[in-house]
Formats: sequence, C-alpha cells, structure tokens
Amino acid sequence: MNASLPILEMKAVEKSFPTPTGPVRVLQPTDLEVKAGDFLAITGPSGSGKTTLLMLAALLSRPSKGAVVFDGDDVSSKDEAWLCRHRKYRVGMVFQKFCLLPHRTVLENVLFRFRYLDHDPDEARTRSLEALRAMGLESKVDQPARLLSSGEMQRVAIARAVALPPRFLVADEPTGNLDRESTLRVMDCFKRLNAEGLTMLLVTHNEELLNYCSRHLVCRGGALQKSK
Amino acid sequence: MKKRIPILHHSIAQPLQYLHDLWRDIWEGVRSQPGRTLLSFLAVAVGSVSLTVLVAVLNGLEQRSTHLVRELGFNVFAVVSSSDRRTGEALRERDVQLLQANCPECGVSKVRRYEVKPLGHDQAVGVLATDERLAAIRQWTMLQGRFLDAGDVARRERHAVITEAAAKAFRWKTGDLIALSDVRFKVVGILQSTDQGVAAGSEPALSGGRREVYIPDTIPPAWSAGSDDGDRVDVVYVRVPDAERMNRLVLRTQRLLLTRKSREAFLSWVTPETLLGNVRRLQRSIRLTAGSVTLLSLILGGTTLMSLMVANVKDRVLEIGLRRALGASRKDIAALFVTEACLVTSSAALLGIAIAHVGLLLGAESAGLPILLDWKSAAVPLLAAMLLGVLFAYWPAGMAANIAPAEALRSE
Repeated sequence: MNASLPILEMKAVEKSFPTPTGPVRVLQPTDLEVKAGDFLAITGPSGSGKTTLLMLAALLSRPSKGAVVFDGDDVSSKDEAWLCRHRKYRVGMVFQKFCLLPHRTVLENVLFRFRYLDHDPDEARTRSLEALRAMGLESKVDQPARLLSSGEMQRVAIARAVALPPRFLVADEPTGNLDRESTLRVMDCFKRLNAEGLTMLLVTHNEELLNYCSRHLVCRGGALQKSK
Repeated sequence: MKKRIPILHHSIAQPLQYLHDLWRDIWEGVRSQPGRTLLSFLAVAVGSVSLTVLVAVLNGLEQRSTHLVRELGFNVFAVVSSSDRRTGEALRERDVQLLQANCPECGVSKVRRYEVKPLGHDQAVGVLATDERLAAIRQWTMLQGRFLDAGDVARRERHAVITEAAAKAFRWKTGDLIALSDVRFKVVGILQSTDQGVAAGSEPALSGGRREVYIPDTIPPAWSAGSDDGDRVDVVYVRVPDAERMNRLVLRTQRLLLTRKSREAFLSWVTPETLLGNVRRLQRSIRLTAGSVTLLSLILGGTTLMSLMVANVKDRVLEIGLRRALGASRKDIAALFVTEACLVTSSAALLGIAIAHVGLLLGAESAGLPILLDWKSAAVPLLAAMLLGVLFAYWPAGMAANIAPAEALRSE
C-alpha cells in the first residue's frame, strides 16, 4: 500500500438540497484529502454539514458542484452501477443508529454484509465469525440482535462493516448512542483496525475521541477548517 | 485483517443461499406488517377462489359444448317437435317421408318418445320408438349386442336396445326380457352412454345419456292406452353428407316443414351451431357476472396489497438505506418489494385454488354446475395473482428504489 496516494479527494465540493423556497447550500466549497492509512476525525456542531460530507465520502450521494475522486476515479462521471459496485466492495459504513436487523441473529446481521455480493456461503460465514471474534462477540453469534446492549450492537455493526475488509471505513457518530465504557471499547476496535491498515473517516461531536485519530478537521457552517 | 481485495469463490450452494437470503428478506417485510399482510392475503385468496371457479365453469361449459355436438352427432341436425295437445299440431310420419323424398342425399330417422314405468320399478324409463337408421345417423357406439335392424322394424319384433345408464339403473343386460308396462321386450343391445353430466343439461329429446329404451316404431304403443296417435313424431334426425351443406339443408327442411305459420310455434331446429350458441351465451353471461365479482375481489386485494407495500416501504426506510449502503442497486430494492408482493399474492392464490378445487370436487355435482378442473383452472388464477402482485407493487417498489440512500440512513 502506498501511503502517499489519497484514497479520497474532494475538490471544491458543494452540496445543496432543493427546498420549496429554493436550494439550501449545506456544504460550502470544500477541499479534503484522505490518504491511505489515515484516521481522520471531523468534528463540529449539529447541522454543520458533517454527515453530508460523510455521505459524499461513502459514495452514498453526489456533490452538487466540484469533484469527489475515489481511488483515482472521479465519482461525478460514474453511473449508479459503479457507485453500487464500489460501495459493495470498497466502502464500509458504521452508523450512529447501528442499522441492525433486530429479528436476525448477530451472525446473520454480519452475514448481511455479503447480501449483494456473489459469495461463497462458507467463506462468508468464516469471515463473519472472524470479524465477530475480533470484536469480542464470539459468544453472542446466535443471539438476536435486538437483545444486545448498545455497545454490543455497535460492535456488531463494525464487524459487519469489516467482515469484507473495505478500502475505506466511514463512521457517522458511532458512539453517539453509547455510554462511556462502550464508547472506549468501540474506539479501541477502530484504533486496532486502523493500526492494521484500514483508512478511516470518523464524524463525531465528541472531542474526547480525537486522541484515537491521526488527523482532525472541524466542520462549521458547511465549511471544513483545520483544528486549532 | 485479510487482504484488501477479497477473492470470493462461487460454489454450488449459491442458488440455495440466494433463495435463503431472499426468503429472509421477504419474511422481514411480512412480519413488519402482519395485519395488512393478512388482509391482502385474504382478499387475494377470495379473488383466486372466485377466479378458479370461473375458469372451471367456463372450461366445463366448453367441454359441454363439445359433448353436445358429439351427442347430437357430427353433421347432424334435429327437428324437434313440441307437440301441442290443444291444437293437435305435431310432426307426423308424412313429414318424415317428405324429408326423405326431398333430401335423398341425407340420412333421416325419427323418434317418438314415451315415459313408461318398467314392471317392478318405481322409476320411469324413456321409451323411444324409432327405426333401424337412428344409431348410424347419430354415430352411436354399441357397448354390447346390436342396434335394432330393418328386420326388427319390419317384423315388429319386440326387441329393445337400452342405454348404458338404463342398464345400470335397472340392472338389465343383453338377452334379458324386460317388461315395459305389461309388454315384454328382449334386450338385444346396450348403447354406450354419453357423459351423464353433459346429457343432463342438454335438450331432453336429444339425450343419449339417460335411462332410455329404443324399440321398433312399428310396434303399437300399448302403454299409451289409445290416447296416442301412432304417427306422431317427436324428433327427426337428419344427417347431411358434409358440414358445408348443413345450412342449405336446414333451410330446405324448413321450407318443406314450415308450410303454415302455426307450425313455427312448435317446430324448432337444433343444429351444432344452435347448441354451441346456447353454451356461448351462457359462457358470456357467466364471464360477465362472475368475472366482475372476481375482478372486484382481485382489485380489492391489489389495493390492500398496495397499501401494505407503501406502509412496508415507509417502515423500512432505514433498512433500505442500509441495503443501499451495502451495495444494493435501485433494481435490487425494487425487486425486493415486487418479489415480496408476488410471494404474498402467489401463496394466497395457492390457498384460494386449493379451497376452490376441494369445494368444487365436493359440491359441484349437487350444484349441477358443469365443472372441468384441469391445469388451466390452477395456472390462470396463479398467474393472475402474480401479475396482480407485480402491478400493485410496482409503484411502492419504485418509491422504495428512488429513496436516496443518504436520506434513508438519516430517517428516524
């Protein structure tokens, strides 16, 4: 892996949303570069445009203006199929609300990572169990997800995101619903994954987590600034 | 951590895995809206029962029309007399002779009908006095023995030919002596019956499937106790050489027999076309009435299904976002909801088809409906239900597919 090559570049990216009274610009012209192996944290108050930026980074939306370059490819010129394919294989996501399927077991939730992939069921199972083991959840594999604690749910979500190792992991307020102890445990997981070479983008409003990150940017009024 | 670019291998288990995943996905939706799912399931099941019955009855009528034509005989038409006791108007022996003389290319036979109670039996049997040509004209098949011959007619032999139905009902067989009222006849043959169910609904005078006894028409009818005029004829059968000449010969016989206006009231012509016409009329009215009921139930089922799918989409916005984040395309999301709808409608249809089949097998005979249960009576409702699923899930599925993943993931 060449650490100098950026995985993600945003060049003068803007994002507006249409409203009945005209478009509202949520993201001001923004430049961002995430290099391989980075653990970048973006903090900022609610409504500052952090999540919008993260959705662009996760290839879940397109910019209104500017260019998002993912692994050397300009996303703006790519079709829906390309975005789907890259989300499938290259991007992992962790959400504040965990987004687990409550009636499925822990293992089934992690196996869901492979739902839209051509996969060998045995291999998917092996990888999922391995990811759960890495998150310390090997004893919970057959438990329905709805019966887990919030911290456990978030670790299942991380296991799901990394069961098929992504090129880039984005996490949107992953500790927003967790107590302090669970927060630390989740951040330890992230730290370990980053140490193993995974590039990460973390969006949070919790400045206590910045110690875990290699870089920090602040989002204010839809614009990114370097932290003081 | 493993290598960044994973190499996943295909295996033979993949289709099974796909079906398993699909089933889990669909079950997720069904369990999220059990009440609405049950409602649309029931509405589609009722519609499918109705559609199955409709198809089975229409099939049955189609079969009946074929049987009716076969029963009458190919290239055969009948002149049926509903003799009027008050005016004494009836078809007469001289009318038959007139037809024979003027249609030399045709085979002509006649029948005079009586209802007689066989000695020792409470049930009456239809006794049909006829000539030796009838079986050949109507292309009947003998089950045993022979039909009446010219000798029987000429010598006034007390010979009788019975239908299979009569043989079964009265336990008669070839060679038996049977007493019709107080006159004894020897059974010389048994006619193969046509379908009882079909015969039951057809023109009574034409029926070959009932309990009937055919005797030479030269034997004086002792059971009519002098009230009967011996040269009355109830039905004349005319077999034309080929189907093309049917209409022309029907017109010719009409010209010959309808010499007076009053004769139009009691003479009617039964041709394969008129028989089929009656069935077609019945088919049309059934298609219209039962078809409307079926359509209404299916539309009701479809709209309930649509509201189920809309509620389902709204309930599962976050899940849709997750699926999109994991690489599902718009098509994958739309397919998920359409498949779910199809599965609900198809399983409802299967239940409806099963209920209808059992109900028809148990109750059709007592309802006197012509029913034919074949592959069409299962395939048509099943396909209709699947189509209903696709049609009514199309819009909600499109709605789900068009939810922006970023918006979906931020939904509460």
